Amino acid sequence: MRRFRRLADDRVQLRLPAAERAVLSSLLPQLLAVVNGEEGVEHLRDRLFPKAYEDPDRERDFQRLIGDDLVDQRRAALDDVVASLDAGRSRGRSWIVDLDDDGAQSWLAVLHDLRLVLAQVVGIRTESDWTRDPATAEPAEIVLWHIGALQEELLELLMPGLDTG
Amino acid sequence: MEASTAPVIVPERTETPDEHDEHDRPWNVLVWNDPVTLMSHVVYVLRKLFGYDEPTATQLMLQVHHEGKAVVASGPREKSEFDVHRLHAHGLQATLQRD
Repeated sequence: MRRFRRLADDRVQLRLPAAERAVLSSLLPQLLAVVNGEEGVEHLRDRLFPKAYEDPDRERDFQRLIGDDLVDQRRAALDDVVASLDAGRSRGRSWIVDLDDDGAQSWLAVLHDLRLVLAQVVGIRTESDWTRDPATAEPAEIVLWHIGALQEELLELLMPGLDTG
Repeated sequence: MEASTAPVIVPERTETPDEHDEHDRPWNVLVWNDPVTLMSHVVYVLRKLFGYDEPTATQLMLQVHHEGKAVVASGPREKSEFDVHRLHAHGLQATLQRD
């Protein structure tokens, strides 16, 4: 079952089974804690906030220049996603969320950030670190695959929009 | 935008004062391979941020994937820092380097 689809009015609709909604809802505040740099999860931030320069002096100047901008952008995307989930409605056993273009961009950003952080949790540093076997993969890695499938679907929907501007 | 991936020709110098280098030599924006990021995400972000067509963005993504990194843009330091910042905001591992 596809989760994302394009509506006739050009919005994007997400249909989440209840279990997936529950998993995502539990992950979002955890991602926020990582973005905020809360105690105990600072080590999971590396991929979200990479260095721009090898040279420490230049890197310090760069960080001073951008300030909290990256943190603010990530918080704003998370706020959007949480608000859109809250504004959803149930249909059968699924949760329906309608997204305008900005909303879809926020979902793309958050799904990607979730994967970057989950990969840190699972310990994926090279291609060969992927387990590739659902029978032996730990739950976090299975969630990582699943969110990857969601992100792939959303990218398929958004890619054609780049041609039309 | 495609032209920005071409090799940058730096005029030959008879003198190389550091101060001039700081302003004249272009900075390369590099995207690094990441085993987590989807290939389609890299293509999407390069197209969205730099206006590349699909074949160009795909070629750069494949270069990142196979060679570990690719220069996706180059230019003055301020512009390159802005590009790196936008790439970081889209979850890509990007750095600045000079040749």
